This record gives sequence, C-alpha cells and structure tokens, in this order.
Amino acid sequence: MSITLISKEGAQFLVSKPVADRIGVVRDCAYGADFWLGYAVATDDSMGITLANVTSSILSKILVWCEHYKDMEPLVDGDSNMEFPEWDMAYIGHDMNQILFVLEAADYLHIPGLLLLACKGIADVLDGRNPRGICDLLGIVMDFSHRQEVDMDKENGYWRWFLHPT
Amino acid sequence: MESAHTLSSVANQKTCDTVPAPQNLLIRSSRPPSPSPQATTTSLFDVPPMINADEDVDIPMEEPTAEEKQQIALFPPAPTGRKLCIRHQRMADEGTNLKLQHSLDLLPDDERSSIAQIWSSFSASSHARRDLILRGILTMCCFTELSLLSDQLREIIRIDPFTLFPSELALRVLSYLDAATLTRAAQVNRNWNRLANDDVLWKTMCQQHIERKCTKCGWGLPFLKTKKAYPPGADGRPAVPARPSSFSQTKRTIDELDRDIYPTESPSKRHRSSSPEPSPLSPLGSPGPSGPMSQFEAYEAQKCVTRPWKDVYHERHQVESNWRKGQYVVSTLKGHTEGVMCLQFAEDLPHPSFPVLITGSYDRTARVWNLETGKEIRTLRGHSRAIRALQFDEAKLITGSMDHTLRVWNWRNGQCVRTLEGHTEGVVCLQFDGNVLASGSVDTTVKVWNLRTGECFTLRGHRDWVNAVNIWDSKAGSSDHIAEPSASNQLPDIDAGKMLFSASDDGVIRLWDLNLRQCVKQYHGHVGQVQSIKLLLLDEGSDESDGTTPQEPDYAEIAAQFQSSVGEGPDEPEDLVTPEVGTIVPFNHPYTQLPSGMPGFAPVSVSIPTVPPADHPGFDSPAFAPSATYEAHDHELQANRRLPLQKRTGPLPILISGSLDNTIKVWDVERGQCMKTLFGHIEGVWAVDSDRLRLVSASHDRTIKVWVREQGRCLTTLVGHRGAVTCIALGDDKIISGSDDGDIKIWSFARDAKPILPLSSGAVAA
Repeated sequence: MSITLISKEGAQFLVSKPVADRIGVVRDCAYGADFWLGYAVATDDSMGITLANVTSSILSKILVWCEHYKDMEPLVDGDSNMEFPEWDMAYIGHDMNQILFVLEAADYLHIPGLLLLACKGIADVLDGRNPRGICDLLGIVMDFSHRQEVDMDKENGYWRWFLHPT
Repeated sequence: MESAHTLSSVANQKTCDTVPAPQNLLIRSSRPPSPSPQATTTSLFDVPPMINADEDVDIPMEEPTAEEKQQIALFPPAPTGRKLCIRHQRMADEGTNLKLQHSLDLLPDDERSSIAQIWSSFSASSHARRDLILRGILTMCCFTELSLLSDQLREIIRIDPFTLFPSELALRVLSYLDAATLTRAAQVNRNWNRLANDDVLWKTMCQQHIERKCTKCGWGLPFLKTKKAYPPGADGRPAVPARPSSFSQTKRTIDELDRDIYPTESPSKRHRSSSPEPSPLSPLGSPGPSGPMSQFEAYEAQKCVTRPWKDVYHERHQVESNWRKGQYVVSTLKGHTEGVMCLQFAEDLPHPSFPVLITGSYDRTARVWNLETGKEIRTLRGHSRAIRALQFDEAKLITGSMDHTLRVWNWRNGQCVRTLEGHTEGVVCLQFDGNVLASGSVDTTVKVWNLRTGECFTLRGHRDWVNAVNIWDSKAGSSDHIAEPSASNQLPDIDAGKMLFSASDDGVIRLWDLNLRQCVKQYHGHVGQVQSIKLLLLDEGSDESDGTTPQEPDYAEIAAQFQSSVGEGPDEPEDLVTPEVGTIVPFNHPYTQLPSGMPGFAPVSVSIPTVPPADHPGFDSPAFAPSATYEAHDHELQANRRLPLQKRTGPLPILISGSLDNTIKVWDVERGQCMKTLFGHIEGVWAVDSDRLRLVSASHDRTIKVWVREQGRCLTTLVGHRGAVTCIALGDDKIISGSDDGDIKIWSFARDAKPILPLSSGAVAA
C-alpha cells in the first residue's frame, strides 16, 4: 500500500506505507479514521493526504529522512548528551533557515525524531557564537538596558575564558 | 517531544494582516476528527494556507478602496489591534517602510502611482496569486536583480526561532548547547536570557560535569560539598555519618549538593530560584512574629532558599579553571620539627565544625590541625620513633611508626587507646576499612588486623620493605555482594571479595585476596622502589573503561611482563601463605592439606593468572567464567584466582603507582597491565593521589605535579617546598603536601582563596 502526500503547492508524492508511517499526522489520518469511524480511509492507492503547510521542497527533504528511517527507530528521546548518527548531522546541515523550516514542518507533521534532530541542528549552528554573532545570524535586536548589559557581562564574564580553555 | 500542538496554538497569533487572511479553507482531505494540527495554522514567515488548485475557488475578501490599498501596501506598520506576522512586526520596528517611502517620494508623480499600483494589486492578491505574480516577476529578472533579491533575502529571512517556537522547543535546542554557548546565549536578549538561564538546563549541565568528566567537552568539575551550616543551638548532626573524604570510593551525586543559601551569602544576589520546594530555613511554618512584614520576609526567604544551578555550575567552573590555569594560593603550616611523612585531611566530618588535618612526622609526633585557621589543635605523643603512616575517620586515628607498633588514638582528646604489636620492624604504611586494618612493614610483610577481635594474619611475598597498602572491596556495589553464612562462620570480618594491594621496594605491586590470604596477581613494570599506590574506581563509560587495549600499548613492556609473570612462577614459593602460629588457619584451606604440585591442584605459584586474549577459543566458554558468587573455601582455585573479567558491572578499578624510578604508572587492575606511564619528575616519586578529575604526585625533586590522567599530561608543577615532598593529599579544591623540611603546604584552588595564615608566605599566583 502506498499513500499520496500532497504538498502546499499541490505536488504529489507517492510514498510507501513504512515511510509514511514515520509522519505522525499521516499515521493518524490513516489509522485514526479506522479507529474513529470504524473503517480505514486508506484502503487503496488512491488515498491522498494534503499537507497544507508544507512546501514541496521541505516535504521532499523530510521524506528523505523518513525513507532513511523507514526500517529503524530514530533517536527519539533522552539525554542531550546523546550523539546523533553522522548521517543525521549531514542531513540536517548548517543552513539555519532550512533547519527552521524542517523544524516547523516536523512539529506540524508530528515527527518527534526529526524534531529533535532539527533542534540539535539549530544548537550546532549556534555553537561557539558570541551574543553579537547570534544576533547577526538571527536578526535579533538586543533589548537590554545598558545597566543590565554591564551586570550581565560581569555575571557571565567567564565565557571569554571558555573560548580559550587550555 | 509532545510539542506538536503547541505550535498551532501560537500560530494563530502570527496570522498576518498585511494580506487579508483567507477564510474557509478548503482542504481536500477527509481528515478524521482527530486532534491533528489545524489545517488553517499559518506557518513560518506568513505562509498562507493551501488553496485548492483545481477548483478555482476565489476567496471572499473585502475589497479595500484604492486609497486603503495604498495605505496597506506602503504602511503596514501595525495599527493597534492589527495582527502582524513575525516578519512584518519586525519590519515595523526597523522602519523599513519609511525608507521605501522616501525613495518613492523622489520619483515623478506618474511613476510613483504606477509603482504604487503594482504594490497594491500584489498586496490585495490572495496567497496563491501572490505566488504566481512573484514567479512571473522572477522570470523577468536579470542576474543583477536576482543578486539584489538574494542579498535582500539573506537579510530579511533571518528570524529568531525562539519567538517563533514554544519554550519547550527552545529549551530543547538550548539543551544541546555547551555551557559556554549557553552562557553567551543568555546575553542575546531578554527572552533568550530567560530561556538560557533555565534551572533545569543548568541542572542537567551540572549532572554532566560534576564529579565526572564530560564525554563531549572533557571538562569535569569538582564536587565541592559545602559543609552544612546548622543554625546555632540546633542539633545538626546528619543522620548519615560523613565519610572521610580521602577514602571515599563511592560516587557522590549532585543531589547531595547543598544548595541552600545561608545568611553569609547575600540574598540580593540570588534573584531567582526555580525550585519551589520549601526549605528548612523558610520561616513559613515556624512560630514567629506575624504581620504583613514577616509574611513578606517569608516570601523573600522562600524565594531565595536555593541557589540556581547555574550559580552552582559557575562556582565549580571557576575552581576548575583555577586548576587548569594553575592559579592557587599557598599557605604553610609550621610546627613539626622534622620531616613530615604522612598526612590526611577531612572536610566533611560532622564534628568538629572545621576541616581537620592530621600529620605524622619524623619528630615522633602526630599533630591535629584546624585547616580553617591553620592552628595546631593537638600534638599526639607516644611513639618512640618516626610516624610513617596514619589514617583517621570520625572516631579514631591509627598511626604506624618505625618503633614497630601501630597505635589507635582518640584524636579528639589525644588519648592513645590501643597499641598493636606484631611487626618485627618499623611500620611504614597502613590502611583501614571498617574493621580491617592492613599494615606494611620494613620486615617485608603485610599484616591484616581485625580491629574488633584483635586477630591478625600475615601476608608474605614481598622481598623488601612494603611501602604502601590499599584495600579494595572488589565486590562492593555488585549485586552478588552477599555475605555467605558459611564463610562468615570461619572468617567473620572479611567480606568476600576484599582484596589488598601492596607495593614494595622490590618494585612489584601485589594484589592479595584477603579471604584466601594469597597473592593473586602481580604488577611488574616499575624499575625502582614503588612508594605509593592509589586505587581509583572509574565510572563505566569513562575514557578508559571501554578501551579493550591499553591506551598506550607498550608492546615490549607487555611482552616482558607476560614473560616474567609466566616464567617466574615456580621460583617464587613465597607466594604461598604459610599460616603462622597464632593466626587463624582457614578451615579446609587447600594449603593446610595438600602440598602444592599435587595432581588436581595446580601449584598456586605456577598459575599466575595471565589473561587470555579475547580471541582465545576458551574465552567465552562457560568454564572460563569466574564463579559468580564468591566461595571462599571451595577448591576451585583456578576460578577464584581469576578476577572478574568479563561482563563486568560497576566501576572500573585502576591503580596508580608512584615509584622512585621517577615515573607514575596507571594500571589496569583486571588485566594486570600498565595502561600508561607518566614521565616528568626528575627524581623519585614519593606519593600519589588521585580523584576522578586529576592526579597529583609528590616527588623528591621538591615539586608537586598535577596531571591529566587520561592524557598523561602534566598540567601544572607546584614549586615551593624546600625539601623532598613526601606525602600528598588531594581535595576538590586543594592539595595538601608535607615535606622533608617539616613544612606542610596547602595549595588552594578555591574561588576566593585566601592564605590561611597571613603570617606565613603570602599569595602566589602562577
């Protein structure tokens, strides 16, 4: 059995069931109906599910992940110390905006594993940047008063030492 | 992560009014009434929802007048009550439209109106139309315009993800950051500050770093248990007696950390506390003056009772930084008239209220010091020759002296409680654990005393002075650590699995099984007298514990070791324990009945356990497995003599030894191999100490070195003693060392360290 996913632009993606099962929303659509209405919506190949908030480019990227994880369990929970597999890190990349799109779509589509990976991706982009660098990267305006800034600098002054630990 | 719905809940606020929000969306999916996200949620950057492409349904929208259109197109700066998406909200802040307006004003009238026309018709379009228009414009663009677009896009597409996503996701992102970046993230803006100072984040950070080395960043932070400050008058003895810090082998967890804030610290500095649990200090339940003021104070007290974890982390980080940078304050305690030979300190005793240091010296005294003031509290006299070894706990002090005796003292009042005689030469080392006391002597033997019954037996095997002993509960913490009734009938006071390391001037370290009273392993490698050993139990998963090969495989050395330990077996009949007259003869002990070499009982000395290689065919066979429950008196010596090797649970034991061959060696206890050799001292090493974070050594070259054990790298060299450094003790934030010149030095790496005696040598920062 396969399921057709329709992106925001109307592009159709034909995916096999194990791949689609990675997407929580799709799973809910397929089995949720079974549960609530007493019959399965997806009985044949004609089933299409519209994912109205996901653009084609992001959807195709997400499906790559789903395809990769169709037979194995992704890292879903736990310890922030856990290392993601190399494939995952290469997949998520370093493009902040793309990661944000993926994160948003993963949230919308209920894909916990991908959600975590996207969070990790963002963290990796932020890693090693100083406050000014983060502001530049994300277009954030610093809203501290001068006094607060001085206090904060005193309080967090160690981070300079962090930069060059022997 | 159950945050899928959270986004949709906030998404509605982000619907942007710069375009009329499409209503009554038609989504072609027979969505069941499941709680899946709303199809109408707007997404990142104001992406309008999907409109059915094949049914060309026009979305009903109110037609604004041309004037209004222009207004909207040019001035989207949110009038109150208007909803804007994140992007347009920010644009309003930055005054982008004003700039645009200015450039427009420079144009002639007709051009201005035509441009305004384009903008307004774009603005009035539905999202699907907008897409179409944009695509059309994009195809019309030349490279220069595209490059303008891409430049502009890079700027305007930036977005603060933490305003976009709910806190749970933001915290998840932050949980992946290291402490440095987290600290920097706190300086971005107010919202980031709130998130990055989250107590849970910093608690996790503490858990990853305190008392262990973080696997990611390599930093480990000292535990720094603060002494409970009990309110005066209250009987503040904790129910659990504190362990002497220098002998604690069990892991401390950060839950033991005392985060209460005492009046000594200014509460105004602690603006935040996220743990809501009431503190014992909170006066809420206590009878006190009632009134609005005291209620307010109660509230304030409640708010300030615990320190934020970030504070806890940073305090320790500063101490660790001091260690790494070699920034310390040194104080000297003078009093001994001859060389100091041994010392121990305890900071977490329930009583007295100050940290205690006890030192023993060639001047035949042991002295008790108050480490806070540097004052000598008591001098213990009684030994007729030098005190070479000591250990104390909250109740007793045991000293070993060159006058051949050991003495048990009540160090609180200075009384000698008992004298243990038995060694025929001076006692140079001792260690006790519970009721078991081991002492090593110039007479080349180790005696193991039962402190309760006073019985004693002797371990023979070394061919020269025994300089150091270390007791090891090899079964401690493992599940099969159950006292066996049959064993306890005969040897009531030594638990199964109790082992003893001894190091000698003959250059060998031996491991003894205290139940069998036999040497079960030898560690060859040092080419000089071994002066000091220290057993360290590492957590599973730490650097060394998963390595299947020694980290620094010195193959020649390993081969030599292998050879020697196999080859020398038969020549060393002294491995056999000859039961002494007057000591307990183990019931049914093989050596009371069978001569070695008897068929069926391999002579003990021949079967020095050598570890089979992992690919050895018998390695995994059940026959090789050591018996899970330790039977002290079964005859399967073969099984017993092999230490638990495979399927090890619990901490990994490593042994650190310092020798007069100028090196320090780190041993894999189970494999009997040297994992690492630390070079650096230019003369012999008299003493070593180590904890999970670092290793320190004291040498005849008058220096102390601080090492990174995992890398075998010397971090700092402490210079200052005028004579050979003979003994050393390592604490969370200090080193205490004693020297041949009679001085005791305290090297403090604490955050606000001050010299203990202003009269003694002042602060020195390296």
